[in-house]
Amino acid sequence: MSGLAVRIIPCLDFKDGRVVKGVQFEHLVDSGDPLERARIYEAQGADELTFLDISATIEGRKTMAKEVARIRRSIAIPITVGGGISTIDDAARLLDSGADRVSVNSAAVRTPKIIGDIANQFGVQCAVVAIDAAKNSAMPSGYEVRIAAGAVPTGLDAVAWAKEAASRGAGEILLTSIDRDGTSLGYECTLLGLVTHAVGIPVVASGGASKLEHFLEGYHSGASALLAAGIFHRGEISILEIKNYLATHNVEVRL
Amino acid sequence: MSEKPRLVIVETGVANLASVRALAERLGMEPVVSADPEEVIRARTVILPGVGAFGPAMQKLKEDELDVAIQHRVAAGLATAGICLGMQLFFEASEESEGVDGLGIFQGKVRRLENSLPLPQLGWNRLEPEPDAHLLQPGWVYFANSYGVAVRAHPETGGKKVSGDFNFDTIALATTTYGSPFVSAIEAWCEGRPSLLLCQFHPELSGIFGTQLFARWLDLNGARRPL
Repeated sequence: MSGLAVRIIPCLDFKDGRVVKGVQFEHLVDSGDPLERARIYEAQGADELTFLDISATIEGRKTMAKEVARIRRSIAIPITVGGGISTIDDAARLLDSGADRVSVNSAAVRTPKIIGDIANQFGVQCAVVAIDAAKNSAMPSGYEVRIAAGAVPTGLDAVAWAKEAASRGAGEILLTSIDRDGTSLGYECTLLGLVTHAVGIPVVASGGASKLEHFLEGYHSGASALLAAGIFHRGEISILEIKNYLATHNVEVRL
Repeated sequence: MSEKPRLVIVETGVANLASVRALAERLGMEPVVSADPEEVIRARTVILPGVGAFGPAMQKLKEDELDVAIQHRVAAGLATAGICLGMQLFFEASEESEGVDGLGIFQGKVRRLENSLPLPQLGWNRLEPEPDAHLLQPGWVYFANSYGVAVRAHPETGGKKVSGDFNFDTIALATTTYGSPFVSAIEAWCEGRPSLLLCQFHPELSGIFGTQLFARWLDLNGARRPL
């Protein structure tokens, strides 16, 4: 028994300062003011918040830093920010704005050194590596890393990359299944099990959770934290419902 | 016109301070980040924050003579808090940075958490105060640590043995279990006040529970009243 509670994390996708949620990274729909959302989720018992900036412009990224600062002042739970971080300066700016941790995705694949740089400068717990993986039977694990919001296959095996990220100083892996993202089919538990067994750092499950059972499956696959977006934004399942469900199945949650 | 009381946050160079500043503001205090040893000695309330590694943080404190400033104010019973690495620095040494001397206010060495669970410990775990703790209360708090002070067979060897120059009336611990138990907080009292509060967890990220703990600490030290 670890004592540690499994974390439930709502993810807010940002585009130019608004919260949006895509289905398989396309067809974006606006679903609200970020601070208002963040407050609701904190009150519902969210253990942490993750923001992903999908703005394509410099202007959009500046807006993101301002939004993080605004949200930080009224939110007293941890905030992880990712999306478009390609240099140590990008990471520093978001941490200064009030992020507690930053996640790097494409930049870590292109320049793996950034993982160790963030860990050395800001601490291991600050360095989250986000991995977007899709099924590919040509890969040893059966899953391939994709970058640029899932558009570009890398030829990297997802499990091997997770291990390398951990050895370079990542303090956590945010693992998204592109095949499952936005589908309501549940987490890709095979992938999750392979990665959680391969690394000694926490893994956040992401992509596809829509039913209470999906969260329990994610936990049983070894995830330390369970992330979802659309179901929270649309009010389909509340964080409290998930926690109560997990608690009745003898999973440690913060209630 | 009344000014907000100041809460001095020690600049260690390796911490991002936005969350600690936000905590100060929620408590009705004005956060002042400072690396000036005079200011750190004199301030009514000081927080030593901590993100990053033991060695670089200690080196920065020594360069700015902040180590002596903190030792002075703790010896004088002035309200001082340490958060995460800021708590670990109060011990003599750490496995994270071998050969580097800590502040040495408490005897003992900070060690890597021993278990087969994922490290760092990231997330919410239970704070379990000893029965004689008055400031610390049971509840869920947020951790982000790979190192900590182990609870040994005799509790006084894990966070209760104070070095010769320092003197407290009473010391009470809280422990938390992540595979094995470790010291998650220490309250040390001087002249009827819990002058020293050390937290291995992050009160600034522990929701209302963390805010209320620091509110009680400030109020018991009279730090939110005008001088």
